[in-house]
Amino acid sequence: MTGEKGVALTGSHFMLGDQACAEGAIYAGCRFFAGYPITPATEIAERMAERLPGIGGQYIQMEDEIGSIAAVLGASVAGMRAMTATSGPGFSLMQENLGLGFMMEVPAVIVNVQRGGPSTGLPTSVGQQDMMQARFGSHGDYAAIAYTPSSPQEAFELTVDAFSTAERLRTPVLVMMDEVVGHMRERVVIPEAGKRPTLSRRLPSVPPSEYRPFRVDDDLVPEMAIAGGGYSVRMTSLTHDELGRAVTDTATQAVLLPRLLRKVSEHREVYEQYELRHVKDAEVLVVAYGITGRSATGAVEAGRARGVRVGLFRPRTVWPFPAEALLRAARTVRRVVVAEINMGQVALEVERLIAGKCPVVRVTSPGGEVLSPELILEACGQDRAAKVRR
Amino acid sequence: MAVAQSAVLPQGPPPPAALPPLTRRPIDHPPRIRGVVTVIGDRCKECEFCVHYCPKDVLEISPTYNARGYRPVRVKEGRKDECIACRFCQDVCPEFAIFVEEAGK
Amino acid sequence: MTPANEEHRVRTPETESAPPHRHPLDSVLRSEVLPHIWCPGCGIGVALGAFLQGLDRAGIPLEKRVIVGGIGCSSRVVYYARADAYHTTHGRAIPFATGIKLANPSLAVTVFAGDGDLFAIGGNHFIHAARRNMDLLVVCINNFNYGMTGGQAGPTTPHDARTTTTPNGNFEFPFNLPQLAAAVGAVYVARWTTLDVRRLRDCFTEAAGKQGFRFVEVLAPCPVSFGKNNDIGSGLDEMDYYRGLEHIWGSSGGLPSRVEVRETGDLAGTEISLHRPIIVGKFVDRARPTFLDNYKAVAVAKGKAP
Repeated sequence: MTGEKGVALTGSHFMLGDQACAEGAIYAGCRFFAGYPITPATEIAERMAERLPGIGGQYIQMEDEIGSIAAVLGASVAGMRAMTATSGPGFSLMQENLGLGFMMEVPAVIVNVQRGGPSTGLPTSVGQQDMMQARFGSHGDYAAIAYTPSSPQEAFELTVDAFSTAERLRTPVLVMMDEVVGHMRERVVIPEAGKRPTLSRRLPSVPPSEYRPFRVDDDLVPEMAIAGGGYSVRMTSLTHDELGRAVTDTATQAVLLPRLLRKVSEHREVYEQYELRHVKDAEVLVVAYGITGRSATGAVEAGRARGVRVGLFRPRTVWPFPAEALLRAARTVRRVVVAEINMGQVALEVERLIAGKCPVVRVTSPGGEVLSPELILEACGQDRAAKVRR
Repeated sequence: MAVAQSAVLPQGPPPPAALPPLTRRPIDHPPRIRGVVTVIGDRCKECEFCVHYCPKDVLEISPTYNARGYRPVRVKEGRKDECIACRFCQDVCPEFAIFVEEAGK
Repeated sequence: MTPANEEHRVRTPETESAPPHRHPLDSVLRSEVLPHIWCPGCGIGVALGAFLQGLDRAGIPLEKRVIVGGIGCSSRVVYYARADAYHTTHGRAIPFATGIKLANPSLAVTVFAGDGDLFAIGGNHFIHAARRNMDLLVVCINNFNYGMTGGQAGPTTPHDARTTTTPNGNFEFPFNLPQLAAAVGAVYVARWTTLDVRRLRDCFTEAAGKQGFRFVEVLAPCPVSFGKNNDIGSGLDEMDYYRGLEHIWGSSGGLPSRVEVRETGDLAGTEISLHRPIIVGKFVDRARPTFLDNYKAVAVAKGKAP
């Protein structure tokens, strides 16, 4: 049942999405977890607290979520793969240091198991209300990468992929789960160690005297010197030049910021994932993610069984949104339906991309329950928004 | 509230007018340590910590400006033999602009 | 290194043609970016020099040195010390440093920050890192205000002092940092001024050679912000205040010195006030298991294999 060195739990399991997420991190080589308890993400911390000490890892429960994300970034600059997990309120607290991670180009994985909000809201019930926050929650211009698993199996797989992306692109990566995926139990198959590949950060290829911390080639991702490696690293939250010196003028900003954005936008091949179902001849396209992706799958299958030509576009990465793939899938449809457990967030992006070519119908919800497949299918036959009825 | 003046170091009593010559040289008298001061002029910001706290009153502000508009410190005319290499100036300088080496070392 | 002749030299670009003399600390500084940004008469450079001497004397090799700063003038040491250095976010240097230390326990990690960064926004992180006895050296440059933003009141501004946000005198009372650090579990606690350069150097030497959560408070002049708001003429005048020249800051009740060195380590009366002497010294020097000691003894030793 165990993989290499007894670390990866190779085999078939029946486990919580939260636990599968933790196992995905361990599988990907994560050995540092700093977190703070919050429903419905606490099981991730508990799993890491249980597993890490026995595999040479470090678990620390920090005093708050701000300390957690800071410690994760610190562990990463010292060479460890590091993760934290939280929900809405903690995610709000972490925003400033998410920007720090983006600016310093630090690989890290941050999991948000979303619940109903705003504020304390519905601590034990599902929501998908943090999706725009995932894109724009921190101040300044930056490029967010966010995975949205729809099952415990995907919670495992996409957490592995999140580490790979974080390392490869030297950036924080979000895993935007939701309370239902996090708290449901399902079959999770964990492959042998190494079978699901993970990329690693590039260490310096030159000696310290020649190393330029933020010099890049066409790849746009700089080599990363880690603390204790003899490179006299200098990393700052201020705008900086390729030597890492704080140079707070517009010329330096004009070089740095576009590169940080292009580093993400020009590497879609590293992270972009989505699922298509019955889109080839679809007249209506449903767009849904996370647990709503499961509801939408049910809606599409039920619709097809009745002869309705409905298809599903299910992003597994919501940010950056797979725009080209969406437009290809929606090329010949008469209607797009966006279903999510919020009052319309990713719908804004879809509406922007569809740009009036056809009606975009929102299926919205204030939070607390999954959307039923029937409601989504019903919305496929309408041109106006559907609301959860209570 | 009055603005403070930099305190002037207290002067000792003046030496007596004439002294009898020494007839013997003490055999256990240790060689007096002398210091050689180097000032890195473009780092100095004229804060006067070293000038003020030198126990032998060896330093002063020079009249010429560096590139940043400060007048760096220099050793006073005729006082260079008084430096005892205590290195207080070196330790108290916030700018890493002055250091002392022991003469003959 | 003996100069070619034993003339005292003032080296400026105009007068120098011979190879430059190197300051003894140039090899542990990023000397190519000096002079630094701090104001004339600011005490941060003095503290940095004492700190670097302390690290050298404690034998900490360059490649093991990590310095983490938050935001503020004091945190800017990360640009000048030769080490792995990180300029992070306001108040969050301690947890960032915690991550570095836990990821590589062989590193000597120092947090260098100011009174506001460490004890206002960063206060919660300070007390928990001390509670856990995280193996970090935390240096607080206490200049009694928020200097970089122009001199606002902070958690260590003395009662009655003027700042830009307390123009009629501070009506709050400051933290007593040595008492606070001692109460939350620090294993080494000391306070010195930037006038006590040798004691400060020896303090850093001692602290750098210990393990556990160590805290050093350095009282430093801030002439452009705090000094200006309180009619202290210059950084030199504030240094002289530490020496006890009574015409600074009004009545002193005829006390002989503004700063008293306390040898006993007793924390009583160590709060800072404009109307009483400032007590400096070493207050706590003890040993207890660090966070990692405890983690290994319990979590790892008793942890289950998968």
